[in-house]
Parts: sequence; structure tokens; C-alpha cells
Amino acid sequence: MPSTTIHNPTSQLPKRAADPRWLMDRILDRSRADATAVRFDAISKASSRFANNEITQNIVERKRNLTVRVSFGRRSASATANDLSDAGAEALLSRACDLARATPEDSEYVEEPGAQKFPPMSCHALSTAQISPPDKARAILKGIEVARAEGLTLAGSHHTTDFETILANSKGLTGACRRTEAVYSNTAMSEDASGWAEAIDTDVSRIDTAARARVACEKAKAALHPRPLPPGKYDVILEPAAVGEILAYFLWSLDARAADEGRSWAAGKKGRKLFADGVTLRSDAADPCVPGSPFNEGGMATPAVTWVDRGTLSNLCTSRYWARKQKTEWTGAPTNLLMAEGNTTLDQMIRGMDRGLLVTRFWYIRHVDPMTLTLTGMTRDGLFWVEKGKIAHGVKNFRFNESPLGMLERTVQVGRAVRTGEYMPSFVPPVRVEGFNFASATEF
Amino acid sequence: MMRPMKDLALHALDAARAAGATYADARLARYRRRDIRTQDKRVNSLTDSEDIGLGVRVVADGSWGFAGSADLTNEGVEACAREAVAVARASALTRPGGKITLAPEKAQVSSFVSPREIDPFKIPVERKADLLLRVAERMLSVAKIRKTYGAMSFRGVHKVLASTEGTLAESDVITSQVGYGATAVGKNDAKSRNYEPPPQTRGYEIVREEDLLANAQRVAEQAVEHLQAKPCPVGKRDLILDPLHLALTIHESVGHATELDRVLGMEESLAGRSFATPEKIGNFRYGSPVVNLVADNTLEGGLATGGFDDDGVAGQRWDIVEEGILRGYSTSREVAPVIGQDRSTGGNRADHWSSIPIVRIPNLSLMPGRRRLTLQELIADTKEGIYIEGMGSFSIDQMRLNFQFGGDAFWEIKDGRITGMLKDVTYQSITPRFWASCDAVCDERAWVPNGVLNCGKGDPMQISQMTHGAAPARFRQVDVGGASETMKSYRAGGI
Repeated sequence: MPSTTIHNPTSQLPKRAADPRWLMDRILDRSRADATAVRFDAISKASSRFANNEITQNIVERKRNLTVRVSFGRRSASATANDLSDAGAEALLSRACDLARATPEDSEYVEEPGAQKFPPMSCHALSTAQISPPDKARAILKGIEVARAEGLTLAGSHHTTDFETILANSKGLTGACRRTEAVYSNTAMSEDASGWAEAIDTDVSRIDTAARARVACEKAKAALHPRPLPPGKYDVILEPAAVGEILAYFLWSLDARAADEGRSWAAGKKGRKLFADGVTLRSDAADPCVPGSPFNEGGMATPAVTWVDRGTLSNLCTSRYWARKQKTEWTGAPTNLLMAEGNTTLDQMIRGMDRGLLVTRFWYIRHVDPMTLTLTGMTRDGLFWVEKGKIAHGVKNFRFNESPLGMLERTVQVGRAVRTGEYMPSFVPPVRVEGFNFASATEF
Repeated sequence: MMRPMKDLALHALDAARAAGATYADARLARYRRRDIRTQDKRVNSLTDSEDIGLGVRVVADGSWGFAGSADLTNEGVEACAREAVAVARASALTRPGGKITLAPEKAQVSSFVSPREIDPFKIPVERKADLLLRVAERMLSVAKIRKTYGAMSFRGVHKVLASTEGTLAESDVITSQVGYGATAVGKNDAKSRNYEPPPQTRGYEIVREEDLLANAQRVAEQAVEHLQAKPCPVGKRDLILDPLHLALTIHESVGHATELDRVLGMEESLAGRSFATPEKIGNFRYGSPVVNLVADNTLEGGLATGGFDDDGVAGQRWDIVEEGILRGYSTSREVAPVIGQDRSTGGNRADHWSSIPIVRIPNLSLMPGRRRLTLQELIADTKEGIYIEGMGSFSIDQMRLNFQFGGDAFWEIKDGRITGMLKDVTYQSITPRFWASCDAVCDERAWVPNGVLNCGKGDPMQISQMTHGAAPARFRQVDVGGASETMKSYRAGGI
């Protein structure tokens, strides 16, 4: 294999080239395409994992890249690269143009949007962006010490990320957003059971790792020696993590075009009262409880949208092309989820349950059938039998085959919301659901 | 200024040593990817990306640290190495006196180039688009087909790996993939059918135009037939699983279950652990005696074949399950010694320069049966069963025991004959019970090296790829239809 060399750009370029806005302007100035859009993304991330009561993986990564999308008439393509030199940017633009010229005309082409008014965001904390590796390790150690004191082992992760996005296009659109996220998750292991808790926040200093470890340890102890129960339909209290995991699949199923073309459960359902009165689901990127992205399809500003209003399916996710074709309103895609909360605490919900199951979280949820939105998945890290208002014992985990449509229809109680969301940033409450279908059991 | 990748990697090692690392490796890697996607008679996405950077992994104060950076100046490389050492020292706060022991390995000084006859990056976009659009046109000519999808994806990874133990290795791997599907829409229902030839670490020659065009109408017609199929029965049935379907079954119920890091609890917080614990090696019945599952990271064209892993361990071939008995794991140099193994099997791979290598599933295949047996003969020998083709819904618990799978197409077998199509089929089992029910595997004439390109593992999530070859195999008396009642009730209820 011939020896390979790499271009080392930053040593020979003016300092201003390190400024992404300067590069983005250069690309827009240089482009001879009919329309050009440029996006700059930077991620600075510190990821720590721990298992068996010690840190097992500790990473710092910094990534920056530029994406250029160009159009010639109705032909378009995009190219991405992380060579942020002037020559690299020129090559990137050239590549995008070559690809766009080679692609067939797109009958569904939608032009680049003009200037946007983006929602005001409150989503960045220096404490998260600047946390040092030793401070992160000490925070993890606080959780581990809680587990050690209980004679348990702790595994988990603590990630802090600083995201920056800048947009510009040849129609005058410009926008920028800087956002931080801190995610702490821990699983406590007892002899034959586990318990789990998490915390997600913009500001890492608000995350109390010891408190989260205590919750995980309490669950692991309460779940000790789990008993088998027969599969079947049970009344359940789903904790917020479980609710968020299932509702992410619900949000992803709301594509208006799939519904209009008869390829989804939502065909003909918009405007109908389908779910319980207490169910209201919406997206609002600017909500500080769980910030989403201000940027949506093609650089459009993310609108606040109510998807389900007191049980009525009020909106479907509509792309710019489909909105124009169907002469309906554009919604874009959701970038976060907020479910209207109630006044009841989780403890009060448990006290109010005569017989049923408490589900800490789910695992490995997958689609089974898009036409009924049937999903399958497993319970994990804390499944409990509740009797006469108290946690009676741990239960061996179940597989469910259930649809969020039925879950939202049979939601009889809604608690206080917290931030969660493995897949979709969510601010959702625990909910009580009647007749949740568990189809089979596992051995632990 | 132009600087050789190898020089930069070695410079990073010098900087790591100077900062106090007792072990270091540096990976300089360039990634290239081009994707073209069609929806109906249009190209709806054409994207291209290039990305280069450096990952430095170190041991300092007896703990791991890692830093990734795209700043490939001398100063940037040095800063990256110093940061990795600082991160390692922070890790050590949780394990005072800790020590990382790596399985011994001879320094890897080698180069590897994946086989390719045609460079896919040199094939004009027009030719790729034209092929996918012709396939779409054929599918859309079938009544009731309302939506079609097509995709080609080409990835190139050029990597240099250097370590303080003397490893200096270089690889250049291209992965190619093509596939398409059609959705038929009827009254209150929609069903799909897909065609996915095996993705491989080869060039554009895997895109066989005549084959893709020849299958388009069949795929569309089967999507329509799927729409009109009978619902899945509920109860126990014999299952015959085709090689593409088995790729996913093997992946989920054997591949992940035999990653030694998760067996040891290191993945507990996300992917989970495994029932296949070390004391079971050599004595645990994972499957029936016809079940032979072999790992082979030397398989030509295999998705996990790259010459060496990111520990600098050369590709190997070994048994995971031999005649039904659990024999081995996929390992890294860190985890192999924990169970007394004196050499890693070479499964430590990172998906990007900014990612740390983690234990990954190798090319892991169900070996063909030893007696001559065709699919037709296997079907003829089955009284009441279901033949499942392709991948569909899949879910498995975090110990890799309880799983439920769907598929892409389902055919009812009655008295040794295929009598028609079924829909909404799921089957559910417990891993060792399922593999113990395997009583026949077709011979090597029916063996196909399918694979997985989107294996998610790790935290932060990394995406990897591996081949899972198989010939059709039969599994006796498996529970089917566990989701049928749920689907039926929602259809009946009108939501």
C-alpha cells in the first residue's frame, strides 16, 4: 500500500479561516448554484462510563463539520466534510455541485426558505460545557460510594455535551444555537435484581449523582428475589422514562403523508377524539424544561405544535412539500415532547393503586405493525408488584405487545412531569394505564 | 504542508509517552460515504461525506483515557495526546491502584486492502440513480403498489493504527450495499416486501444490475400478496428460517450474547449483560448438535474483515458454538485475560476516529449442515410450519434470553408444501431453548453471507457491521402469534 499523506490545512491559513461564519460566507459567495445552504455543526463531548463500581471508559471528543446543500433548478445534493480550511470548503462546495448536477430533477423539490424568526432558546450552561475530567470523575465517585455502602455495584454513564449549530443560506437565512446537555444514568445491581435512575439537565451542576444512585439502589434492593407472574393484562403505573420511550414511537408515527397515503394507523384519524381527556402532547423547542432544536426542515424555525389536545389528534407531522400539495399547514418534525402533567406525585399514584405493576423503564422497543402501532419491548431494571398502595415485591421481567394508541386511550391518571428521553428529549409524567398487555415473561 | 498519516500517529504516541502514558495507541482514520436514496420515481436524497481525524487511547495511572480531535497540526496532535492522559488520570480517581492488563500480542506491522473490482466512488451518480429508478418503475407498474424505496450506500475507511508496543498497521476497506422495497396499500392495511442482497466489503461489483431488475416485479407482487395474506396462527409451529432472516437471529441471540465485555458486566448500564457466563464455556448446551456457529474475521468480503482490530490483533477464526456447546467469545485485549484467555480473538473495533474501540460481534455464521439437504427438501419434510424470509421486527431482553422476531415475508407450510402467504407473524422464544429446537440446517449450496450494517452498541452509541452467513434451518415447535391478538384487537376497536 503506498504511504498516504494528509493535507495539514491550518498551518497555512489566515486565522479568520478558523471562524466558521467566515467560511460559510465564503461558500455562499463562491457558489454559482441557484440556491445554496450551509450548516456548521460542532460537538464537544465528554463521555464517561462506569461498571462494577469503577470508570471503564472515559472519552473527550471534539468534532466540527460543514454541510453544503446546493440546488440547480430542481436538482440538489448535499456534501459534508470536516476539513475546515478554505481549500477544504471550496472542495466541499465543488463536490456538492458536481453531485447536484448529476442527479435527476426532483419532482418534489422545495426551494430554500428565506430568513426565519427562531424561537428564543435558553439551553446552554457553561458549567456543562466546561466540566473538567476530574470533576466529572468525582461526581461519578459520589454515586459509586452510595452503592458501595449498600453492598451493591453501580454501572452507568455520565455524558456532557456542548453543541453548536450555525445555519446560513443564499436566501438570507441565518441562525445559530448553542446548547448543552448533561445526562447521568445509573443501574444498581443486587444479587438477582437491578434498579435504575437517571437525570438529564442543561446544567450539570443541578445533577445530584448521589441522589440518583440512592434511587437506583433502593429499587435494586426492593426488586431482590423477583417472583414470576403469568403474562396477561395488568393495570400499570409507567414511570416517566417508560412513558417517554413509548411516546417517542407515537410521535414518529405521525407522518401526515403516510396517513394520507393509507400507510399508517393515523389515516383518517386527524381531528378525532381517540385518547383519554387527560392526554395532551405537544412540542415546543423553546421550552426550558426540555429544549429541542430551533432548526427544522431545511432550516425553517421549529414551530410549537400541539399533536394531541385533550385526547383529540389535532395535528400530524407535515413536510413543506406535503403541506403545499395538500394545502395544509407546515408543522415540521418534532424535536422534543411535552406531555401535560397532573398534580399527583408518583408516590401518591402508587398509594392509590390496589393491585398492579410499577414499571421503571422499558428496553428494546421495536415496531411490530405500523397500521395499529403495535410495539414490542421488555421491562427492565425495576418491575414491581403493587398491592394495597405499597410495593409488595419485585417481578421477573415481561415482554409487552401493546400499542401507544391503546395506552393513551386507557390512561386514567397522570402525575408530575420530569425530563427524560432516551430517543426524544421529553418532559413527561408517570401515567397509570389500565389493561396493559404483557405477552411473555423472561427468566430474571 | 503534507505529512504522512503514519508520522502523525507516531508523533501522537511520542506526545502521549511524554505526558506519562504507560501504553498508547493512535488511530488516524479517513471516512468517506456516499448514499443515494430513491422514493418512488425520484431521487429523494443524495449525500456525500468525508471526515478525517485522530483518536488517541492511553493507559495512565492504571486507567484508560481517550481523546479524539480533527486538528491534525503537530500542536493539535500533541494536545489530543495530553488530553487523553489527563482523562485517564481522572478515571483513576475511581480505581486507586488500578491496573489495566492487556493480553499479550505481537506488534502488528501489516497492511490490508479489502477486495474490490470496481471502485464504487468512481461510478457516476447518473448510473446509480438510473438503476434505482428503473427498479422503482418496475415495482410501481404492479397494481396496489403505492410506495417504493431504493438505496445504495458506499463507505470507505482508510486507517493507520500505531501503538507504543510497535504496532504500525494500515487498512483500506470499502463496504457496498444496495437494496429496495415496495409497499402495497389496501383497505385499512399496508404491507411491504424488500430485497436486500448481501452487503459486503467489496466494490460496486456487488451491485448486480440484472439481478436487481429481475427481482423487482416479484418483490412488488409479493408485497401485494402480503396485503391479502391470512393472519398469523397462534400456537406452536415448526419454523424454517431463510439465511437473511437468520442473520438477525444469530446477531441478536448469539452475537451479542457472546461479547465478553457485556458478559463481564461492562455494558450493564445500556446494552445489558448475558446469560452466557464464563463457567458455561465448554459445557453449556446453547443449541442442538446440528448448531455450529463459527466466528471468522478472515472471511473474504466479510463486513467485519479488516485485517486487524483496533487493538492491533489480526483477524482470526474460532468456534463460538460447536455441535451445540458454547465454546468461545468475541474479546478485546483488555477483557480476554479476565477469564484466563492468553490471546484476544481480535474483536475490539471503533466506528470512528472519535470513538474508543469496544468489543464487537465478529463475522459470525451458522455453518451449513453436514448432510445434503436443500430448502425444497426441508419444506417437503415439514408437516405444519411457517417459512420466514428476510428481516423484520426484532427485540430481545438485556440478558439475551427472551426474544420476539417478525420477518419480511411469511409462507404457510402444510403437509410439506407452501400453501400461501401469512401476515403479522411473530415468534417468541428463549435463546437456548430456541437453538436447541434446531433440527436441520441445509447444506453449503444454500449458504448465503448476509450481514448487518447498523449494529448499535456502546455509550455513546457506535454503529458497526458484521457478516452472518447461514443456510436455511428448521426450528421445531416455536411459539408464534404472540402479537396477533393485540393487532387484531386494535383493528377491531377502530383506533
